[in-house]
Amino acid sequence: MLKEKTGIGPGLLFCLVFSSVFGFGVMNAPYIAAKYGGPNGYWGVILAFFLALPVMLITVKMGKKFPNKSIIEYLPLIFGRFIGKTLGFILLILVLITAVWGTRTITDLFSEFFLPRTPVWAVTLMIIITVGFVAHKGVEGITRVAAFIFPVALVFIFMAVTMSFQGFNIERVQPVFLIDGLKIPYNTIQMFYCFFPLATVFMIYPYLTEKQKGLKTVAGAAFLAIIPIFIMVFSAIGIYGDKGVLRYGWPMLQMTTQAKLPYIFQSFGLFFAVTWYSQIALSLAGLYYTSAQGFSELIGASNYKWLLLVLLPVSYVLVLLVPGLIELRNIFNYLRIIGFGIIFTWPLITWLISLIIKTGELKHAS
Amino acid sequence: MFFDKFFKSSKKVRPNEKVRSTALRRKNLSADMNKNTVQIKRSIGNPADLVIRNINDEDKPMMVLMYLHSLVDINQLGSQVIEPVNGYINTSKHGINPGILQRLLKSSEIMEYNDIHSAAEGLLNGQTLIVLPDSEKITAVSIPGFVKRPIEDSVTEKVIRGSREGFTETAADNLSLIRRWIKDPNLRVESKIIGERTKTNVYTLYLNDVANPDVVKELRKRLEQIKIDGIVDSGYISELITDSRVTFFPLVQDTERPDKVAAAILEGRVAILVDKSPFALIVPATSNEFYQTPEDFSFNYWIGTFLRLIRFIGTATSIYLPALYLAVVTVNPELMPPYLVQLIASGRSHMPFPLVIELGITLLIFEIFREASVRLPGNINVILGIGGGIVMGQGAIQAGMVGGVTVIVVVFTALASFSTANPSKEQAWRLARYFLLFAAGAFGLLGLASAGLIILAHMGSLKSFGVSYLEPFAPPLTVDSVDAFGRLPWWASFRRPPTYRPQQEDRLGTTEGEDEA
Repeated sequence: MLKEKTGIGPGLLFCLVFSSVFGFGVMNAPYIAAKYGGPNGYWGVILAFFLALPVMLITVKMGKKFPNKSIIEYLPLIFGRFIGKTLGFILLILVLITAVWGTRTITDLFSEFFLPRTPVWAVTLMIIITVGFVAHKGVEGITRVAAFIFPVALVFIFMAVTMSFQGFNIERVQPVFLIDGLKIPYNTIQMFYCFFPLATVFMIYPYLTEKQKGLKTVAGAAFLAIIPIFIMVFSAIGIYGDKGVLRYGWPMLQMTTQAKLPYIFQSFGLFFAVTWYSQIALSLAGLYYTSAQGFSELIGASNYKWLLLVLLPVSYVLVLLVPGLIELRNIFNYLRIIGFGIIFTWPLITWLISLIIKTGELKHAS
Repeated sequence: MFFDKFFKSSKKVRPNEKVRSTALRRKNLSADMNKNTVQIKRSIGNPADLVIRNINDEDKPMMVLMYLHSLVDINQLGSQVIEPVNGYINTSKHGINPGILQRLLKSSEIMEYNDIHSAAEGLLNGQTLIVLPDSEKITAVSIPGFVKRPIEDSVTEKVIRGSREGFTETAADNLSLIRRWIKDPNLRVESKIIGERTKTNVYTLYLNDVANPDVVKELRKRLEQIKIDGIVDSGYISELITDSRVTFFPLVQDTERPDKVAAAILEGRVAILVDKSPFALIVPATSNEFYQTPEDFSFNYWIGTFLRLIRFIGTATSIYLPALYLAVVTVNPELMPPYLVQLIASGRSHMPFPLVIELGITLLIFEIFREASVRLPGNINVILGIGGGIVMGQGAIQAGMVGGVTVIVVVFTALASFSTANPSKEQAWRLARYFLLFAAGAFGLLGLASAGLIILAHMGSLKSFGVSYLEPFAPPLTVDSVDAFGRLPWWASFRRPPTYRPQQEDRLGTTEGEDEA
């Protein structure tokens, strides 16, 4: 066989980050933004992006400090073996729960809207098999699928965004200067969930071939992904009003269902849902891969594929444990805050401590 | 993973050294002409088409000619060997030694053998052996006289405009076709004999200063590792050198067209010609290559772009149409305009089978028709087309067994499938179509999307000689992607496709653009 090095270029990383952030963020964004930000909810999306920038910056910096190591591998070098491994374990548990939550979201949406007669367990099984298969192909497989779908998905996404502005009323969108207490900062923290898939970047960064382009790539992809999310949140509040948005289980789908091109896209909703599915499936594949790879590094197993085979049935059970959408949303309220605490603060603390104790390549350089 | 391991350890796929044929053992020749003749005769089992002709000067044996009359041109043998030898015997009083014999023979291809094994192999390759008395060497002349097909138009890759030459079963002829395209001294032709019993000639062709040396090295290694008793077609080689054994997607491109092979070599890829096979192989091969035809470059680049787009749309339609129809009609009817829903629903109200079964069976029947029609004589094929396609289809609709729309979908799918420019790729998509169909039948558009993702992920994990199967789309190469969906004009194609990592990225020769630069 040819000597092959597993590696991904900036183009592949860009596509994966776009799919991950968009897929994970878009479907729940209007609901959460309207719930916590009211008529100002759309600001949460923009501010969350700025909140995510330091995370991206630190990920890249740590990636340069430990060029061939993932976060699971360099945490013990910074915090010591026990604390480092414990922190890594907690991070991986969060990643796994986030993936489970994402899987359940797809199941609920499709069961409710498009497959009402199909048992939930069957829909979940199909999703788990699909996502598991993609994750099994590893970092190259996932990113290549993301890159292949990217142009088509981008066209569909922006078509959906453009066509969803039906019945928009600017008066329903509150201008920024009408700030209502701590609503905007709190909404920003809530909306930070869109960037949970950045956890995938923590793990796959060592595979990036051109590390000098890391920040540009990750930030650019996240920015491109956040644009349609922002427009969707903005138009949802403008169309239904902040209280109107909360009346719908899936306001996003409600909006896109209204959009149509007669005889071509009779109902755009389903096409949008399928496009979204392709994106979130890749996002979840990335998260499942991250957790399997992370656990294999944590316990010293040689192959993430075997761990994936263990994690997927566990995830399947966890997905089916939550009885319904309301319970799922309640759990997600806590998950968003815990996730923010871990995804935002841990890289920051890790970086600061690594600076203080001078670990990583810089130490050798000096 | 399991299958990969299973196949890797399978001894059926790659027999080990123990089962190799040892029919012909190396044994040196002796100075006894009769003994040598008998040993060669025995070593190949005294076949019925073996001719042994003794040439004597009165009672003195001068030489023995041995040849297989099924492989040798008798007239040429007479004029190039027997006539000059007889002339010499009649005029000279001296005996014949190998040096004199070489001067007498008119054939341009003369060999000498020192052992029974090599001599017997030469005999089986169509050479005529000349055994001399008191000589421990055998002289052989190549006067091939076996039946071969003339060069004709390609059967599977027809074009409206472009070369009319297609490969034949004779590797030497195929090689000459390529040489007529590429007259570069850097064109390397390496030969290898593969197959313990068939001794098939396999040629490897590449441009020494363009092709990626890693690919050439890897190909040599993979060809070296082949242990098999016979190579009957290039398909054997293709399967044995492929990167993945569990995929149904072709990772080695096959073609009947010499112009396609020449273009591939110029791009920095490596071609393989196999004797007795009219299909050449090209490596590395990406998925995109299977949608391109030489015709794209014969027409104006606008037309070339249009043709490529039509081919992509046709292929996508043939893969997705049955599944999409099934998903939309049975699971997600909200996607269709209400009038169309009514129309299809009213047409299906008396159908005895669910659509998934109806569509599956109709597709299967069409596949059987197609398979049968390949083996039928041409004139009966037309009757089958009319009888099967029109009469049976119409009959099935009128009997209420199959819906009219279903027949339209199946026939259109079958026709659209031929827009894929390569038969191997088209066959692969045939299998994928059923996977998508049943996924769509079970889960509607969600199932279709899931099955599509699984296929894409599988394709994304494939590599052909180190090159990603989904290149140039993934990893994304901007210019190459444009050149894949469309066709870049020649005046804008200064570089070879970086997909194959050629040594020389710039195409040789100057263009206006380069001169100005």
